[in-house]
Formats: sequence, C-alpha cells, structure tokens
Amino acid sequence: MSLDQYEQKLLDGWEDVFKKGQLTLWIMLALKHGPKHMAEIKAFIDTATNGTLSADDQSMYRALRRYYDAEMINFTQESGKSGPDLKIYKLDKVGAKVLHQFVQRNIVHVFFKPEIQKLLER
Amino acid sequence: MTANLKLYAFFSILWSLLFFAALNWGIADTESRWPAIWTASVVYGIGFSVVGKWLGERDSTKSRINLRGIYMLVSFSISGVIGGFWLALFHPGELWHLLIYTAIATVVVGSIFYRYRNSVKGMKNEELFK
Repeated sequence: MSLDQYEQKLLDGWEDVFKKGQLTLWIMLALKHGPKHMAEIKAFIDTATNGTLSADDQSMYRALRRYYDAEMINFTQESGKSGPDLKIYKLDKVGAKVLHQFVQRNIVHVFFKPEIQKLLER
Repeated sequence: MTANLKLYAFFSILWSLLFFAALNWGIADTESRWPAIWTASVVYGIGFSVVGKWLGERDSTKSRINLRGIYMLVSFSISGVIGGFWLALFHPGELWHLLIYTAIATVVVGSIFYRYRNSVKGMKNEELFK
C-alpha cells in the first residue's frame, strides 16, 4: 500500500511520537535476549524493529545509566579486544520481573487477543 | 544514611556555623549591615545547592529513598536548629522568627516530597522511562 506525501507525513509524525516511549521496552527486551554491550543492544534493536527505532550512543548510555540506578539492569566490565573496557549489561532480577509484568499487561493481554490480532492483520 | 549524606550533614553544620558567625559580624557593622546580610545569605544558599548537587549526584544509588528530598530535609533541619540556637543566644526576643522559618521549610520540603512521591529514587517517571 503506497502512501501519498500527506499520508506519509501523518505516518512519520505518528511514528515519531509512538517511538519515543519505546526505548525502555526494546533495551529490556534486548537484555532479556541475553547480556550485551551497548553496540550489541543497538544492533538488536535495529534488527528487531526493522530499523524503525534507533538511538544515539549518548541517549543509550544515559538510559542504561538510569536503568542501572533504578536497579533494573546490572553490568560487568570486560576488557575490550582493542580498546577500552566494555560494559556488558544484563537484566537484573528487578528489571526481569518488571519487564515480565509490563509485557503481560500491555502487550500479551492486549495485542495477543484473537479479535485484536485479527483486527491488526486485516 | 549514605556516606555522602553524612558528609553533607557535616558540611551543613560547618556552613551554618560560618553563616551565623558572618551574620553576627554583618549585623554589628551598622554601615554596611544589609549588603553584608544579603551577601552572606546568597553565598549560604549557593553553598548548599552546589555542594548538595555535587554530593547528591555522586551518592550511592543502593538505597531506595528520595535522596533529593532527604538532602533538602537535612539542609533545612540543620540550618533551623543552628539558627534557633543563634536566635536564642543572641536575639532571644526574635525567637518567633523560627516559627516562620519552620512553616516555610515545611512547605518547601513537603512540596519536594509531594512532587516526587511517585518517583524512583528521586527520578521522575518521565525522566526514567523517556
């Protein structure tokens, strides 16, 4: 389905606002998938969202720092192959529990309802 | 109490003692009394915010308390207690000022706790999950 210029503008605007609150979910999902350093988290998000969601390094570091402060994630330092130490982030117990509840309440129990799934696929 | 909060409380005591000593000196100087009082008050306030911000940002994130509110509570409490002693010792007739101070401090600290009642360690939800 192709969109004209006006429809594309509407879609871009909606997507822009829609994506803003999604970084937390995708970072948490990336870490649920397994421990990762920042570049791997970015690559996971890029692949999983077909490139529709991306964040610059600064925003990612700030977000990871906030989630660490909030005890949702943790990290270990590993020496980089040819550079500074890498921080390998992983989901903490608190983060795993909160993510599970968030996904169940806001995604699984909403978007996985057969009637909603049918509606989305129509 | 975190190590940085203890350090902040210690700083607050020293800073308040210094401020009320400066205030004594300023009040005694009849010629430049008000500029001295204003200057001392502004420097006193700036000292609290700069040191509080520095220590707060580097404080342990292990405890799940509203650090922002606790730092403010420490500042107002120490300042109030030392100010109360100062009034009682040097200006006992003006001790009623302490009531006004306590009322203002209660409103300010109370509003911080109210604003951040749903916060996570002093981070608002919009700040944490943006």
